[in-house]
Amino acid sequence: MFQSRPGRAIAVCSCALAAVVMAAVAGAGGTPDVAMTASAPAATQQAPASYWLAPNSQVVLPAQSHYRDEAGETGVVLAGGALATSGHPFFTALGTNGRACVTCHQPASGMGLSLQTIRRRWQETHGKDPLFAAIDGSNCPNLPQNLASSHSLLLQRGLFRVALPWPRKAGPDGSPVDPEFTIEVVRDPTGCNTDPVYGLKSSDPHISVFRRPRMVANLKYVAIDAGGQVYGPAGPFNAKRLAMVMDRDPQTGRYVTMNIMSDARSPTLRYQAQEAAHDHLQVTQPLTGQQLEAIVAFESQVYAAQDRDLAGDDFDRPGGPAALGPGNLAVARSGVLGDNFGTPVFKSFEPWQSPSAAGSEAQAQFRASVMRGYQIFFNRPFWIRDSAHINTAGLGNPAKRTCVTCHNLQMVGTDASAGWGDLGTNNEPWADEALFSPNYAAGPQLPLFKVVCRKDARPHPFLGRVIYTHDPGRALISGRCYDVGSVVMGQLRGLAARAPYFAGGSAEDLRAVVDFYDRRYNIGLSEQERVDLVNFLSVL
Amino acid sequence: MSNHARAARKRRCSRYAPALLLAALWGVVTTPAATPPAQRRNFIACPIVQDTDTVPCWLAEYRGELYFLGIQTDSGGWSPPWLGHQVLVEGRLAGGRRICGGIALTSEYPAAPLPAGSADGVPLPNPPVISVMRELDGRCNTLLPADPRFHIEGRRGPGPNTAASALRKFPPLPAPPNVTPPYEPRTFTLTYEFDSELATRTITEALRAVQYAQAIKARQVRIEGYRGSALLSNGQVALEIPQISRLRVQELAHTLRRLGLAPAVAVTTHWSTQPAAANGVTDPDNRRAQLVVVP
Repeated sequence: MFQSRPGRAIAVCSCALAAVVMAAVAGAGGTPDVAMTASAPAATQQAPASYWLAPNSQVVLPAQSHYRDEAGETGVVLAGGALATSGHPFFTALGTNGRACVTCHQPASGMGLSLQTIRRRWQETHGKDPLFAAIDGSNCPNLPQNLASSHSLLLQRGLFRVALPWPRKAGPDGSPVDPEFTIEVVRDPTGCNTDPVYGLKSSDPHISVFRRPRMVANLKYVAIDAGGQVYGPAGPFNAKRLAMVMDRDPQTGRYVTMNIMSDARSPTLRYQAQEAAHDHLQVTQPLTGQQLEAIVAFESQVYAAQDRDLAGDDFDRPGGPAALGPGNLAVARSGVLGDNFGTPVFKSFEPWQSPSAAGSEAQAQFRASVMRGYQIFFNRPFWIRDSAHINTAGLGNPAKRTCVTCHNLQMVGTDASAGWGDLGTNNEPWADEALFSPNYAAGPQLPLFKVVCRKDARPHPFLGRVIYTHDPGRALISGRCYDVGSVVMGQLRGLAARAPYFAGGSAEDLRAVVDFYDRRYNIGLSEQERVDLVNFLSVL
Repeated sequence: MSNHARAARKRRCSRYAPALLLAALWGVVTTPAATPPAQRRNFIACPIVQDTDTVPCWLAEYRGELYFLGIQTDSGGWSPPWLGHQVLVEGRLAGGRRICGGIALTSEYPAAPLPAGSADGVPLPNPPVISVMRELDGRCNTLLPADPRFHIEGRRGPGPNTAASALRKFPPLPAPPNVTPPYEPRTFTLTYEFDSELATRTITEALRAVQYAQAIKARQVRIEGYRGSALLSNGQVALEIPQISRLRVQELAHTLRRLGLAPAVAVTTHWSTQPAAANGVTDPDNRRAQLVVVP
């Protein structure tokens, strides 16, 4: 069952809380507790919440629900109050493969989808769940779908296949795209990129890249509506010194933030829903306007974040840190730049500063670790180097800055500018699979592409004209050589519920994230600092 | 060679791979031409990062002398060079004390809406014009450790901004013009970094052009692209790549439509591959494109 409890002053339909019906909710067990890497306090004894909400479930999602995760509990808040899922298009299998939006955006996974959940669904359904649909839940649709090996990227890294037409001819607004580079398949463990039907040389050529689903929550911070102007100082232009005009909402003509998808290909939530219904749900007819409006309305009022640590401390409780918990996300203002001391990105942790405010010594130590982690995140400079669309955005290469230079949007830690950049999560040499996640299955799992840029094109600023990449990222949409490997950063919320991380699932846990950054930018973090950063990220 | 430059070179050689500066680049004409005025320092070199206790300084070495270019600021200020690329420096001697061990350079071209900061309590000069060269150069890899002799106070330090919101410091976007007939053709000029088709500092001129075209119900916008050159202090002339004028025009044609220029407005494109003559002083003006809005 969902867990519900009274919370802050958010619109709550209390009558609905008592009317939770879970007839079609599959599974009753929560995710197993996993020990934190540091001095995390002991786990609470609360019963775990359901880990899976199946399509076509006839339940009422309470205004607040809570789900066990590796660092305590994830909370989901519906600002509009409890919601009956029956017939709601977000929760209904609208296409031919039995999936709904909720299939990949599960409340128990912070409105994303954890690898743990994926594996459990495989075990419980013997791979029959629509989650594993051939179209994108397997390494390639032409593989025998009953074999786990055909779904290895989903089962081992939480990755779905994203098939994009290549070479791309037009952007989302129909404006022409003239790709500046060619793509050669160097390595194709899934076989899909060289497949005669699905591959790059097929009659309908597509490139298959493999990506994590992004969290569908807190979207007022992501798809910011700034009244017709793009949020930020550059008006209709990308603020990253690209002299680039931002995309527009095809419906309204208003400029958009381009931060929704990892490659920024969907200008609006509505556009994204239509595209996802086609690509992932395999609908035979476009969604109706009414369906789209219902989906967007739901997505615009759902908030997710960690809301308890392992000691059971309620982050949304009044008087706690003002950025923690989904309730605070629901009420805070969006569009606030947090790379400054006036409006710091995750506000203040001052309520946790007094050891006497903690319930136990262990909790006091954990809080102290979290606050140290935040201090590192917020204040510790290091050399940010060779990162396209970061160093090239006016800072110089290298730039002596901190984590919040890029993770600067208050409450969610995304980039206030159109946030794509190349941190090395897709491009070699930094994205080398063995280095990235040594605990993953041995041997290369991801495709590897050789990108060769035209001589007259502006090259990738730090990799030149020949780039080896697992996913060209934004460049598959823009056609620009300088975008190869760049992805839009995701939110830093609800992290503990939705491992693995990065668009390519290359970091299996938060420690792998921290270790990657330390290796990538030669930060020189001590063991204690790594633990502190992991603890800090775990409470977001 | 000055003591500062000698010391810097010694440190680099001992700690890092040598970063010898070669000017034999694609596009550099080796035939000596006239030289710029004596106070000018126009050269292509690897940038050097000199760390300090606060934000890093950016330097470059030319003919055995070390020059100060600027400091790291924020994304709304002067844009420093990139390690991994050479940089074209176009400036003149600023006078005054050395900064971070380098002779300060300046220019007549304002680089940022606000001063970047101060060195030893003295405001930093407006920096020289710099252009990050287009292609990678692995020799440009010199990062010098923090030197306690250098006291830099940046408007923006290495950590979070001390101001509530850095966004407030940006200049406002242009408002649509209020014009009355008879309408006249109007020209909007965009200037560029050397070898760049991205009008990173002047792109709002494209917005002004579209606003004007909409206000007067223009029939046509003519885009003209130009190829520039730079007279270097050693008498050589650096030429932009031949296709740069075409690339500038193509980028702008795309930009105008995305800014909302109606399909009914004809866009014509023209470019010249003939490089403009260089004089070593106003060469940044020649790296340009023009938008001529015709009623």
